[in-house]
Amino acid sequence: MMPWWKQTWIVARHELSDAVRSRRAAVMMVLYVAGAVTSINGFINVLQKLELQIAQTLGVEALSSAGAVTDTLWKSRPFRNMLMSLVGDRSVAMDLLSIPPIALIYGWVAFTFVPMLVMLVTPARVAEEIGSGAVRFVVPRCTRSAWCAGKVAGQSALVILALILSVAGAWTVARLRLPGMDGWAVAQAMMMLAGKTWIYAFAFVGLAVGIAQFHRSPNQATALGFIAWMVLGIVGIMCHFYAGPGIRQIWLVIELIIPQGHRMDLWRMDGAYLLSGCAFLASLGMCYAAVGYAYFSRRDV
Amino acid sequence: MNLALELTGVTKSYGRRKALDGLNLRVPAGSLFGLVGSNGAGKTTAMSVVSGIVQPDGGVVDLLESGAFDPVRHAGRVTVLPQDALLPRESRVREILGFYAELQGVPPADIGPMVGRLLQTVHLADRADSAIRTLSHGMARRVTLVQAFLGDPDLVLLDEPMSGLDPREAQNARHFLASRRAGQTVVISSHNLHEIERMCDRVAVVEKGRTLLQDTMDGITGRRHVIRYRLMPASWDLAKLEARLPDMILERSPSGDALECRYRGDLATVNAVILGFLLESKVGVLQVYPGDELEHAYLNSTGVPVQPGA
Repeated sequence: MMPWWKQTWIVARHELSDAVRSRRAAVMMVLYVAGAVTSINGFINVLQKLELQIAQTLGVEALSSAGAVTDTLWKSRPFRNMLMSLVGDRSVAMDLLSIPPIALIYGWVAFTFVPMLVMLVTPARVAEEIGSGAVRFVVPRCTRSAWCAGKVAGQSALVILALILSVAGAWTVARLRLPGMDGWAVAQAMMMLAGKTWIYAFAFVGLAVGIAQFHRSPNQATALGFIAWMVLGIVGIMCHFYAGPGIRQIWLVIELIIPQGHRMDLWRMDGAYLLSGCAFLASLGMCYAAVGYAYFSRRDV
Repeated sequence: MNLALELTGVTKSYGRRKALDGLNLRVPAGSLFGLVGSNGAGKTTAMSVVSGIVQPDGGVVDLLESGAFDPVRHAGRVTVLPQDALLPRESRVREILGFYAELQGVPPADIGPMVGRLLQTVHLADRADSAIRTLSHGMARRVTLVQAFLGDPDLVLLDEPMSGLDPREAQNARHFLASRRAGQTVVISSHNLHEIERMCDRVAVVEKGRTLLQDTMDGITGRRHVIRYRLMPASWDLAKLEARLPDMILERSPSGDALECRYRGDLATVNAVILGFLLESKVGVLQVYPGDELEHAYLNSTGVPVQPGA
């Protein structure tokens, strides 16, 4: 009798190898990597223009490579004070300032677009397997829970692949455009942010797999995944604005059960915040998937 | 008698429509069992209930004398070829079969040779590394047939296994099924009664979610008490033959090209008398076969009268 974890591992391994070959996943991964690379390139272009203008204003010779002024700016006390007042939290601002600006841009892009990547790939793959009947070849061979967990694990692994490729692409462009960049420090920062992005994405993978288990149509599942992502985003914004004392504390509770509510914790360097954010996001991912599984475990496939 | 599969009073509804309405089946271990019935009779639902794809509303399902389907308990022992299910399009043939085999617990070292051997059997060895999407419908169907025999399971459920196969591959598949190992039980659901008749040793007729009859093929087609003749059209006197076989029931088709005899006793003796008479009467005999065609037995069981020679 094969243990559950082994069934899950086999399903996850197959899911990853199969998903990588699917056109939809390949296109979305290419777009994600292209998005990260283009953003970094665009950021460097803006930096160059900014530095050129500053040089012209000051009447000095412009530097051949971008980034030098930014690095100086990043370390200046007035800028740090401005960022602290913008963020509203000294420790978060300090954490952000400890990250190289180019990596920070990468992190912002990675965090912002990873839910979109997940929602465009995961629900369709899972729902297609149910709709086409391919799942009927698997269900008699392993438990439905192992299949569900394997899908979550396989799709999460796909996100890791997308993140690794995006880091490689973004770092390479930054390296080519900013010869003076501290390559090792930026690579480390980007990898750390990619890791955090993955934890954040895990909650969305769980949500996507959960939603897909209710459907047979890939398009319907994708549309619903997208809607869910947008609704969660709107709820996140509402939580931010409406949370307060008294009855408005309900928004703080709602914030706990949406991924966006824990996003800020991942930007911090403080281990306690980081750990709590990771634990919440991982739990949310599993809970979302489990809700879908509760239906899938009894449905006719 | 050891049973590989037993369904007792199984019910299943889709909304207000009853797909299974107290279905009873008893499939002896080691048999090649045919499940026949009209469209919407409940054959596919029955297969799906047995393999855990569909949850029954009521009744008892017992597989291999170890209870209802459980993917852990029955992994590797029960496999299914679902009717309309498609394999993942991007997967490669060898890879997807390897995945299924590994999942049902086949030792990794045995997977490669087993997949290779099975693909050879269905003439797909040269397409082992092809993506499923590049296969024709018939080829993909053969891959799905192969997956049902991975790991040499005890009970194999095949829903319309020959659909989409060309005549050569259908014949090959029949040989493949006939050469299964002793003790392995195969349940085949099909509309093709001729195929079921040729392959199966037991059969059940299902209509409107109920079992109309189930028996051995000999029992259902009456091979032990009916003999049929296909004749050259000619005029001959049935009364004279009836005089020679007084205890038998003889029926001739209106055009005189078919004769059916319901007999008791020794088939060889009865056959000798009838053939002797037909030769004396200068009636050309084209074909002699014992029993009804399954199609006739099926139509009779569903209340459709069948004329001799039809």
